[in-house]
Amino acid sequence: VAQSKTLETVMGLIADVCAVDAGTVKPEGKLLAFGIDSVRLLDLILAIEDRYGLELSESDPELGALETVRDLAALVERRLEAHR
Amino acid sequence: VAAELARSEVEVELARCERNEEFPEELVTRLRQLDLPLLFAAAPGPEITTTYHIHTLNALAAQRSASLAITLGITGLALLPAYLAATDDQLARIRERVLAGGQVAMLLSEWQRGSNLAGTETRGERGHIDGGAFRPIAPGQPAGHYRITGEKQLINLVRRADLLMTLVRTGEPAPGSLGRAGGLTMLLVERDGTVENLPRWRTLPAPAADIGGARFSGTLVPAERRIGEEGEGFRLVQSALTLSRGGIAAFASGTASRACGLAFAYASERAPYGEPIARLEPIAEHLARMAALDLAVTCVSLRAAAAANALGLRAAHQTAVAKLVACDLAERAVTEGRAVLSARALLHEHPYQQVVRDVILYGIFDGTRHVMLDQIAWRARQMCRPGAGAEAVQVYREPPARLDRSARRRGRPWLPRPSETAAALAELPGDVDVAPLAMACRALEAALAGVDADTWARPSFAFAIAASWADLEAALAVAELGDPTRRAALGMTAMPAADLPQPDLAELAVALIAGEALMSARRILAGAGVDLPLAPERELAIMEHRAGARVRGAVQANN
Repeated sequence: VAQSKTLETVMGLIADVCAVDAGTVKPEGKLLAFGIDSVRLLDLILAIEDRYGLELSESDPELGALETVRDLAALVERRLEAHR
Repeated sequence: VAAELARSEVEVELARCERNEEFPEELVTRLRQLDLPLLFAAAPGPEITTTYHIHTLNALAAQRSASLAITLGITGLALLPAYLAATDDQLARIRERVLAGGQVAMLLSEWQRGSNLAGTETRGERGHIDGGAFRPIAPGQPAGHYRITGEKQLINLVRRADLLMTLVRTGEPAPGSLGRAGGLTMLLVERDGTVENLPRWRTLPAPAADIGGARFSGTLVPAERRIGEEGEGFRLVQSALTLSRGGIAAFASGTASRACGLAFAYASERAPYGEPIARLEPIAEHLARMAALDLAVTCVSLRAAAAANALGLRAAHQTAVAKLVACDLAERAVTEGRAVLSARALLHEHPYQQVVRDVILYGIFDGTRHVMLDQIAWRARQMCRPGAGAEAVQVYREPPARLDRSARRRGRPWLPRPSETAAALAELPGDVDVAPLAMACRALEAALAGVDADTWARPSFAFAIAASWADLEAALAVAELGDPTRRAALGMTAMPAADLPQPDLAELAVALIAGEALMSARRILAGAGVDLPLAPERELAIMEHRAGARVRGAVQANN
């Protein structure tokens, strides 16, 4: 349940930061398809940090390797677990 | 420093250096002896290493020449990664070196890769020193030293700097689609014999600046000179450029003010028809527009400084807007002045030729025009979404903060809707009528909310709209800071009194910039099948006509 809630929140943040309709953000959607590149990723990271009070390191190789919305939500979930 | 820069001998000295393409060695040495390095040292005590102080230096120096401005300003830029991420011990060591006279350069670009920093090829091989020799180590093991090999080009002051803030590749990019910018690290290199200076470039603007290259041939850098973490270099550069963009706007502001001063002085003295040409209506018209544009560049630059001071990296949108608009409007101001000076503007013997050359320089710094437009379009799109909006932040009331503190403030970019800013301004006492501007902001936001994703995805559409959007935000900055009453209500100190009536000048700037922004947006939107109502444009045109006549009349009366 916790993971699906994180996934939902991350989908909302992507819709918000990328200014796309929430309905178009699907778990298997590719991050690149929403216009997220290495520069815009920073805005998304800041939005996630803001929402969860986490600090994500942009140097984290896992972050660079993300492909889909679900990958990102899973990473956030792992970081939240580690933070607890 | 300001007093030294104001001396008329300095102008003569700089003009000679520029003519001979000579670095202004003596002037720079004198300024350094006046404790200029204190401005960058982030030392405890009076807070002078702040966004406001550095932007002020940029603007004052640019009023003299771009060569001088970028020579002095580079230290603030090159130290930004340190203000952002250096440890206390590192900052203390840097402070010591800077106060002892050490000069700093920022080494990012490479000849083949240009603005593509993710493609950086200069390598920082990881290893450690064993028996006096460098031994490479496997990924994953902590590095004790880095060995740099490669070449950086088109770098300001690199040939004279002792400390080289250098972006290098210490690892491969991450495998995924977003990992392209991974593997980059920032190192603060102490110059030694393995760093070779490459020839100086001759440049059209800033001909007295020392812009060249450097080649590293196995330069060894201890790990304690790494700024931030390994692999964090791209993010550090992005963050540094986010903050430095406001400083570029300050450069543009200095050049626009110098152009304005030269054009007004010329027009009040030149009298080929028996009276000063400033009294002629067409010339007074150019001068009025020029003064309005100069005021706008000042306001947009100051707004960015205030936002960066108060919000740090959250001011990414405000600094991008300032950099784009200040450079564009300064170029327009200089063009207006060319119409006043005519042939004199192109003579090597007249100082105006210097601003004609200098003003084209700033737009290429710290992210090209296209990079700014891309970021502004993207964020404008966020602001147009239903329910979008940001909390009210009193950025002007925040006291100047030391850069190693203000720069580290991070969070989501601050994106207040222009219509909300305009509505808040209307609540404050003021002499500039903000109603037409508020109407313009609402109209553009409403029209853009109806644009589909495919249209936004076209750069030709998004970039043109971003330019209009940024201009509207510039007009808001003028309504905030160019109107003395509203400026005081926002908590800002007064600007020096000008010869021209400031509320009229501000109203002219607002109407001119916002009116043209709407006209351009309407054309682009029409191509996308979206209508932008004509009413706000009409209101702004009336405002421009009335305020323009008052300012023009004042220009003629003063001469």
